[in-house]
Amino acid sequence: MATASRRIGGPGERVDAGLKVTGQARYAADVALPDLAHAAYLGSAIASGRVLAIDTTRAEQVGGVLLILTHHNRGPLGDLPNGDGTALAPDPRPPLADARVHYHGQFVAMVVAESPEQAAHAAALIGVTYEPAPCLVDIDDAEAIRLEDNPRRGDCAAALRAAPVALDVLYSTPVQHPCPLEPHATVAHWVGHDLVVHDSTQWVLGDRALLARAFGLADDRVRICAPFVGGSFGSKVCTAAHTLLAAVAARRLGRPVKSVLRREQVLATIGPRAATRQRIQLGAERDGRLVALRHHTRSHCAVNSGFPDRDPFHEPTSGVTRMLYACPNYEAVHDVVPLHLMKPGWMRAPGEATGLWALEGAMDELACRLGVDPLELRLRNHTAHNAHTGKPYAGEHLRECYERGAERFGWARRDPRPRSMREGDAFVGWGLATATHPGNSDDASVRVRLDRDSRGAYASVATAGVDLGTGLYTALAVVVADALELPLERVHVELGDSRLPPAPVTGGSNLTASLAPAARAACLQLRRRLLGFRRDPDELAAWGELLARAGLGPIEAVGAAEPRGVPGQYAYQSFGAQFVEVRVVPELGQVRVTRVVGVFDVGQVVNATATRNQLIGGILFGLGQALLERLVHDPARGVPVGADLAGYVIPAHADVPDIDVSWLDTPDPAFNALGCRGAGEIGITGVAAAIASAVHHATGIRVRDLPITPERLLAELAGERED
Amino acid sequence: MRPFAYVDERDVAGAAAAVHAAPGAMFLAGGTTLVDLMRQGVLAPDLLVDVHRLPLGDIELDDRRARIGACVRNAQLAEHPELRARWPVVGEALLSGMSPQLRNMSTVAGNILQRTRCSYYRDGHSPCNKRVPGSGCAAIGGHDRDHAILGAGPRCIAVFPSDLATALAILDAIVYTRRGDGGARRLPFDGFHLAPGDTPERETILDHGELVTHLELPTLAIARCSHYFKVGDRSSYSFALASAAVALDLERGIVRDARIALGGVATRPWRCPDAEQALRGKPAELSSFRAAADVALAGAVAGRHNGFKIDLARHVLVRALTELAARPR
Amino acid sequence: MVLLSVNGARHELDLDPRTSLLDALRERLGLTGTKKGCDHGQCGACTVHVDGRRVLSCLALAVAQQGHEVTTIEGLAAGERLHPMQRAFVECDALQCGFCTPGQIMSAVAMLVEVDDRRRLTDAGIRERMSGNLCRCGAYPNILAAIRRVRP
Repeated sequence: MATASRRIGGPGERVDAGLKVTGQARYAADVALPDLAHAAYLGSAIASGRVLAIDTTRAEQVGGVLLILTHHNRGPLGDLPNGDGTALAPDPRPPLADARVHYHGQFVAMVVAESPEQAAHAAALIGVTYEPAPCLVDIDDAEAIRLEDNPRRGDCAAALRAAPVALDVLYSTPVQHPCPLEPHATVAHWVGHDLVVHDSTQWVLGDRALLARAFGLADDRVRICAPFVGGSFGSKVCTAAHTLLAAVAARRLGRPVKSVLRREQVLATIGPRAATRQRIQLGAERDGRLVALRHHTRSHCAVNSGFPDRDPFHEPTSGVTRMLYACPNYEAVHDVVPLHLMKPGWMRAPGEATGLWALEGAMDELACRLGVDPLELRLRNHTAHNAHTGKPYAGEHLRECYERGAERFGWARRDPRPRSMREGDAFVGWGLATATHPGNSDDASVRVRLDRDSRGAYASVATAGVDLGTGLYTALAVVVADALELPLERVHVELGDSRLPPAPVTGGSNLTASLAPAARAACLQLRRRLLGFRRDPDELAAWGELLARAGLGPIEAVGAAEPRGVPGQYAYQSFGAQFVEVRVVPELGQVRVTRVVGVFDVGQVVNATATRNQLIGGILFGLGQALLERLVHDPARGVPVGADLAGYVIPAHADVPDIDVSWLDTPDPAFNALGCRGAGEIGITGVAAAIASAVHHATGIRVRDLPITPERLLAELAGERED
Repeated sequence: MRPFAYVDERDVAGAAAAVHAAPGAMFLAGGTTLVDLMRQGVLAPDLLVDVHRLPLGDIELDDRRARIGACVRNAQLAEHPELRARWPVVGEALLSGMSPQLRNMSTVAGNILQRTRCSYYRDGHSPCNKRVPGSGCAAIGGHDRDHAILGAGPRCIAVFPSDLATALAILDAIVYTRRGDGGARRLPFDGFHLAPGDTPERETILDHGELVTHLELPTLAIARCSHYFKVGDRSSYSFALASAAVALDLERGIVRDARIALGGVATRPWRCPDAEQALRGKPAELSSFRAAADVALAGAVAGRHNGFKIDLARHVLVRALTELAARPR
Repeated sequence: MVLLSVNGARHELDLDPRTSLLDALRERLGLTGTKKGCDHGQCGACTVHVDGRRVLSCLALAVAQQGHEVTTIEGLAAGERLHPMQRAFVECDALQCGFCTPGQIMSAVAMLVEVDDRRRLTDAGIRERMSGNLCRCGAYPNILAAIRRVRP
């Protein structure tokens, strides 16, 4: 039996699409259980201070109200694990722990009632007396904690002083939010002393570990189910307050409890991407080769997150600036500002999406300063190894991405002068940026069971990993169908259940890269066991027949992600090149992205259909980051302003241009057996910088503060008039 | 959402009387504003009188006028071929904003009665004189990026958001109502919406229980040459940062008459009579349009974050006039 | 009692007047294919047809729907046979997480009915007419392709 990879890398329908187009895919909030009760929350009306008194009298009188929880009666919960890699809580204190308030919207009470209408109404009737304290929500207006152990190499200060060409620029990003379309939702119920939770999470084992600790249970007494999750983009890693409280209430009531966040609660209580201020100092030779790069970031954290000792997470902006370009002298400095806001978390390509905005913007400015083509400047600073660790990349094809992208886009026809292209009253501009994301993978396991029915052999594939829309169902089906030479419809995939073989968080673009090789390993074990039953080595026998001949029932194997070749020998990194065309009408503040070409090296692509879709989705996240998205907090009161989808504006159909996405077929065999790296995040990286560069090319206006809104362009125009 | 009683009314007088008789009652039509704000706790009626089945769903046209039932869906109005020919600004305004789903649900009367998008008003808890009279205004000195630069007062700077109302402001529209006591009124659209003044909670001159029954558009020659232009944050499905409804009567390149209103920048539909006057008799060219736009924005006052709207509205108005003047006639 | 007609079936429900059509479908009738993305009429995930027109079920009170015919994603397919729009969404991979998908499909089906002459519908026209349906995964280009495939 040959193992020709017919399906891997090819197109093919998403195996779960049928359920999704008919409304049959079951998301957490769709779970119906007998006797289901409904939760609602009251969020704090202050951002800083204390709850002095809570009056629940009126709420208790509402018909159908079953339970009201506040910090007075929530009952004991165990310590929440954090920072030990097993689970994550957004706040080291469990919800409703005490009277302290650290951000606006922090839950101060939970109501459970027979119907959602009753719960919501009762929550609104709870009276809270606060003792407000001053709140700080402006990153530019508060004291910072400087991180120790900042990465450095060479003598950056001296090299900057001596450099023939120097650039010193400040790039900013606002608070932005992953804002998946599915609001965070939990249905919790207890079966005897065991807890079962249907959750919208990207990490069922993290949920399980946290809830087990909170309730003092062994891990196997907690089951988390997340077969379908309506997007996440980093926002469903932590086990959030509503999930914990749903489990508390369900136990107290002896009934299942459904807890779905309202959209404004998603924006107020689920961690956003931190705001950043990034000062980039570049020192270069006159030909554009970098001699020094200093990256000073200011980003925010939450006053309650226990930063840095308990939870060291901060937007990791320098991860990408230290490694991307050849540069002998480098220094990063990171200041973190505690604010009275929800603890920031992960949002698609944390670090790369922000760090590349600053670095690639600065590189475009350097190119303009030197009169060097921006693409040529990147090539002159290209490195085939990680510039910081010095490790060679096992697979690195960035130059080919640039070249192919430039050709598809027509970059060679670009006149470098700003305002050199017009179409009607719009200025047209072209920009580019580098895209990159690390190749990540983690310990993971997949069980494959082979059985037969009247139609022959079929395979059942199972793992705790979660498909967030990433195409994991399809990727695993394709890998198993390929390895076992089965028709795709004879492979059934089960995902997102903590009772299935363990898998890591769906994050860091790691899951397909971890699980696809594990699934393949399981298949290879099964093949080895069955091939012995052939009559001779050249016999072409179907698996069903071999199973029958062996007198076996179903056989199964659990495959694990193999460790990478020689540990520490290589660096693993995906790259890409983003080319963007914009049309700008400056006096109307309008920027329209009209064309995007993205060429990527993500190793072996497992399923072309889902990969293309995901890369396009990443680029559109970048478009939102560049032009639309910012979560504003009222400076005086810390309340999120416009905390809904009319206020937090994300791209709609009409904002979306033609997007030409392609990839190099370049497996990275040193990374894993399939040579595949993830594609979930690289799409967003570089997009904002490419758009800003295109806006500069179109208009001569350099915007360094995201998003590029009408007021920024108009302010620049007004400035020009005054000059 | 607070509990309420629901009555499905089939009779205009009955509906008006039902709301008139109950101080906490409100009319429910499309529900796109009301249901949302009830869920937010911003509005808390104890009785909803459903008027969506009232016989007010027709558009009648003759040589003199269009008579538009209050319960006509915005989608119906936007797509009416003859209306689009005689009052193009109306359809353009309607298509510039809401999603098609909202246009299918919401009514014409609900559109001109819609509430502000001010986030402090809608969040249900910030100080807001419009929601809780006397509680203050969190937008003044707060994040006022989307707020009014025209018609604002010391108690309220919320923008009136309706694109349709901005268009109606230049069309001499008439609002017909039925009062709870059985009477009826004929109200010029100019003056229908109130400046915030000392009572920002009062947005129109309607009394409690007074039901809008029809809008009337008188036939106007100038309306055939009318246009709506809008800029929002998104390419589509956005509230206006600034918009302009304009109409021009041109003769041999000279502006004989002009109609101008601004949207997205003012506390109510904002007709600009001085700018209209500034255009009359002038050549229909960029310099005239710019001069008129300067007049239209002369009284604009910027807050902390919305100063850009002054320039933006100026450019939007110039653009609207330029596009209209360039249209083949 | 409220009489709701959904996907051709009639249901007599004892409903709280506050219940939205969306919550009635999801919590009372078990029709969870229609999704709640924002509950403010801003995302389109809850799009259903009422008397053939696309509307937002989160902003419609269930009690006001008596006498109207409601169609949800569950009522679109003819038995096992997918509606052409559903089929096109599968073939064009017009989805990722799938959460906005029922609303996108219901919106797209009604949109093609709204248009007088489908053949004159441009890509820009489709994008504009579909802009009330947000997709955070960014499957927009494939959704456009699916709609073009169905448009004759």
